This record gives sequence, C-alpha cells and structure tokens, in this order.
Amino acid sequence: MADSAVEIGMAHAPHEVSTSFEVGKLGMWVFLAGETMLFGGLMGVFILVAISHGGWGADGAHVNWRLGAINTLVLFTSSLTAALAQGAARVQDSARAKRYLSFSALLGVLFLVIKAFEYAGDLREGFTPLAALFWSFYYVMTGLHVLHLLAGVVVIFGLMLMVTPRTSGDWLERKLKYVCLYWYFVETVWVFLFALVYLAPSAG
Amino acid sequence: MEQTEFSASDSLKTWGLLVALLLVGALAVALGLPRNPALWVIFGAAIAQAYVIGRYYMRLRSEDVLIYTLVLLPVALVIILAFVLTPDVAMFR
Repeated sequence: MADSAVEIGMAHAPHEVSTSFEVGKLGMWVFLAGETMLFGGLMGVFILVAISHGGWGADGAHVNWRLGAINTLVLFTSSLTAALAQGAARVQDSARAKRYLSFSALLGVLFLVIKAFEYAGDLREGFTPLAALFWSFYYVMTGLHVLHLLAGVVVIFGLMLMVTPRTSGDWLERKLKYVCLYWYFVETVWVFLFALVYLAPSAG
Repeated sequence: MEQTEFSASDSLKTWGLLVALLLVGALAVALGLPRNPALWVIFGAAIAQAYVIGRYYMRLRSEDVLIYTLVLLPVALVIILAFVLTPDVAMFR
C-alpha cells in the first residue's frame, strides 16, 4: 500500500547518507508515545497519592486480583496469536494469518467479558467510582484501558474483514505490524495496571 | 529497518516467559509475602514483562535510535512529573 510504504529521507539527495523510516510505523510510535504519557501520568499520580495516604488500606484489598491474573493470561495469549499471525503473513499465508488474528480478537472480547463481570461484581458490592479515591482511580485507569482494548478489537475485526484469499502477504504484513504494535502496547499498559491496581494493594 | 526474523517457536517461548513472570507476581500475593519484598517482586516482574514484550513482540531490539527516543522521552517526562509532584505529596503527609 503506497501510503504506508512511503519512506521519508533524503530521496532527492543521492550523494548524502540518509536514514529512512516507514511513515506508518513512525506515526504509530508517535501515537504510542502520547499514549505512554497519558497512562504514565495517571499511574504516576496513582502512586504518589498512594504514598501520601500510606497505601490504599481496605479499599485496595477488595480488588479481585485472581480475575485480573486470568485476564493477564488472556492478553498474553492474544499477543501470542497476534505474533503468530505476523509470522504467517511474513510467509505469505494470509488465510492462516487471518485465523490467528481471529483468535486475538476473540481473546480481546473474552478480556472485555471478564472485565464486565468484574465491574458488575464490584458495583454490586457498593464499590462505585465515588465510593473512595482508590475506586475513582481504579475505574478511570482500567476503564481507559478497556476503551483502548475495545478500539484494538474493532481494528482487528476490521482488518480481518479486509483480508481475502487474494490479499497480498506483504500488504497484510505491513498492516499487521501497525495493528500488533498497538495491541502489544495495550498489553504492556495492562501489565503495569495489573501490578499497580490489583497486586500491589493486595500484597502483604 | 528490517524486521528481525521471529519464529513461531520464539513466540511460544516469549509467551512462556511472560506466563512464568505472571506467576511470580501472583505468587508473591498468594503466598502472603511481607509487603515490601512482595512489592519488589511484583514491580520487578512487571518491568521484566514489559521488557520482554518490548524486546521480542514490539521488536525494539532491531529498532533505531529515533524509535528509542520516542519510547524513552515520554517515560522520562512522566518521571519528571512524579519528581515535580513529590513536594506536594510530602507536604500532604
């Protein structure tokens, strides 16, 4: 695809040494840098407020870390199938790539179902976003992550719809590179959320 | 930048490593380790997981300095934000 394959650099100055970058990949990394500041800022403030309050006390102990661990396993597995889809696209096997991609999307949906189940349990027990400062942070940070994951699932499903038996493996590989970068980023954010919001308040 | 080849077996090994690190963090809570050692284990495991994802799935090992700058700059800014806010936290305590 011409738009994403375009490389910027010193194309008109052949005697100069140039470094070229894929525009699409560079754009995705710039986007992820912004997202890092968003989640990093929230997590930084969460830690500072926890320190200033001497921990989260009883509120943090109510979080269901076992469900969080199951969801972490689900996300790790979805990233595995995404990596396998990239591998399949690299050897021009679009059908297999699409199959692996569908597993990633379905595991993303499973994550959302488990999270909805968890939210329902928390709300039933009275842990609403306004119940305590911890729960405000919990819903904002995990809710924002859920929105990002939902966007990833939609994009993966959209990409799957675009893949036909005649789809070129090169095209799919390039698109998968960007989509998977985003998916792995969402997974990385979850790794830190799981440690901060689920495990650390339940420790000791 | 050329992508480094990453086979299905490498992907499975990476997944296994991530699951092992997940178990380490979860066991620190399940076994009821004292709070401070547990926190070290939990955040150590999280940082290791992020490193594994970045290095092997996001292919950061084969990226150039521009991408590293894009990754590290926001992290540095968040750390600066934390330092800037620290006096307020100390005053609050």
